[in-house]
Amino acid sequence: MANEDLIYRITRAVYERLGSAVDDSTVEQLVTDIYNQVGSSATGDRSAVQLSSTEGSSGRMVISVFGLDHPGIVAGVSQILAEAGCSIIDINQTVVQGKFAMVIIADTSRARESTAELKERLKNEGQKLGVRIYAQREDLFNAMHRI
Amino acid sequence: MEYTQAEILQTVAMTEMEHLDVRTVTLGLSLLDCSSDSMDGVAQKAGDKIRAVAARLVQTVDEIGDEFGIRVANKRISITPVSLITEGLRGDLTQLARAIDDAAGSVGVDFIGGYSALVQKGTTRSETKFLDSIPEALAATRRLCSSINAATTRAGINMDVVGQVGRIVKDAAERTRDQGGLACAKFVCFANAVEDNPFMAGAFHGVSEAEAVINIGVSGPGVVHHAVRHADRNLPLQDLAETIKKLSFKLARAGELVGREAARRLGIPFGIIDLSLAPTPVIGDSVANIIEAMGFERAGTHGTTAALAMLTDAVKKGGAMASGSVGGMSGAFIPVSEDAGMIEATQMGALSLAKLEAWTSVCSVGIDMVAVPGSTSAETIAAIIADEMAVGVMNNKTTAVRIIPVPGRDVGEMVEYGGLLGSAPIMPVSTFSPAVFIRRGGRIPAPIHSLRN
Repeated sequence: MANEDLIYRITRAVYERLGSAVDDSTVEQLVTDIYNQVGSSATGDRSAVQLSSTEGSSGRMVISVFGLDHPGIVAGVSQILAEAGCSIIDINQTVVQGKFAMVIIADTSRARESTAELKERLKNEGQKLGVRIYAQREDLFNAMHRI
Repeated sequence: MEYTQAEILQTVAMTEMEHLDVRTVTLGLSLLDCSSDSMDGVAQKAGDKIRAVAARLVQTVDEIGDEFGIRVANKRISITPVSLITEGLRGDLTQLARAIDDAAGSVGVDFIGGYSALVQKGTTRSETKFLDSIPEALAATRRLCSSINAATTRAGINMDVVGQVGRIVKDAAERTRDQGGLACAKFVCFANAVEDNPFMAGAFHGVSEAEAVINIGVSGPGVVHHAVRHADRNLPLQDLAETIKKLSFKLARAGELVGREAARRLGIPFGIIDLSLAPTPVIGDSVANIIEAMGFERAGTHGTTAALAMLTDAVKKGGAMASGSVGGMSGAFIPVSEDAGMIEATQMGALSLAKLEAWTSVCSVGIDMVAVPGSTSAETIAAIIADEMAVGVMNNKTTAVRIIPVPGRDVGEMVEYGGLLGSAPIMPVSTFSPAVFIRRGGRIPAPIHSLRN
């Protein structure tokens, strides 16, 4: 609550100083900068002040791949993960009656790409390989299937 | 592996095939500090505050949805009931409505709720003026939603207001005649309104709420329908309820994860998760179809009130076990125009307004997105609302009415609203007049069980 209140007070101050005609994105950037400076020195709590952070709490993704089996699917998907700087923590792959299913749990905490970029590359690779690839944060599965 | 293949498959199937989504992430925002000595001043302050606090809402929520692979269908804002921040002011309320609507548009949300008044017991002079302004405000804006709380179990039913709401609904329909009375789709009359509801059109940020909160509405009729449809036809009802309960638990857990992440990134406290089965016009995302899959030829036939009661209760139980922050309505919505199964059932004559009213005694809200003939009188609409208020007040539950008297249209015709609002078959209403009862006005006293102290 203190954070929200602080953001609001900073925003009000910025608007009062610059007038309401000022560009919204400029105000947003200013507020973010000020907040990060003030917040980090005042509270010392980095986790609470990552205002524009896109990092999640989980550094792992579950990548599931489904489609008709043919050579090169595992290679294609793992190649993308390797290029992105993600290591494979666990992998499970089966073929039943020609249908291919694979689940990879990957550590994306040191990934060189954003989640959106990685998902886009996996999607394109899936189209090339003729399979469906889904990438979702691991904590979703944890929330749904573990108490 | 930490998860079995069946678990992974279930989650992927839910998010990719069975329409599991977070129906709305709603930023609840207090505007109590936006009062001023002029209407212009309120408009300026409210617009500035909405733009400042909600600036990153849409982008942040979309990013999170992408990471989890869960679609977040809508991003919305609920605000302090506007009647409270305009008390005693002269000036043009429509101009304020437009300013709020513009601010909502500039931050990219599709609806903003809270052009509201809490008038269950009486109205101030300003509130009476405010109620009069609702039809024009709705007709002049795109995103603004309005609601009125006209009754509570503690206060009884304010029948003066109920009578006025009948006229408000007629007026709003007439002002948007060329859009099938669309303004009425953005207006709800409540009994026992909740202060943390994230769903439109009835969302507002209650006076007892904090400065700002993130509330989440999670849905998933498609997921529940899939499970019920594939359950053994001879499965006893308590076991079917158990299946629904377990699924609801998972839906709520997924939703809360998304909500808490959104709250964390936006630096705004997490409020509540409202786990409501909210249908969309998409095939396979229907509450009526769940009821039918339980073992009925059509939704609306005898026995479906019992089925809906079991469904609503199982959903609530699953949600309550999954999260300590369950709030809002939580249960099942039954908006006719937004549910493909209900539209079909109405067209076949299986579902009537009378049955819908019975359903509202066990579902989460009330008579929702029902289109009636344009010739329906203001008194009849007020009487439909009075019935619904009574169901809520006497049963200690939230009920509501969102009804559209479609100008120039009659029973059997369809009216198209498009998008999430769907298309509504026009339902017949009783042709016998309740006018004398409604014109009496006054107040229906609170029930005996309101005396609980």
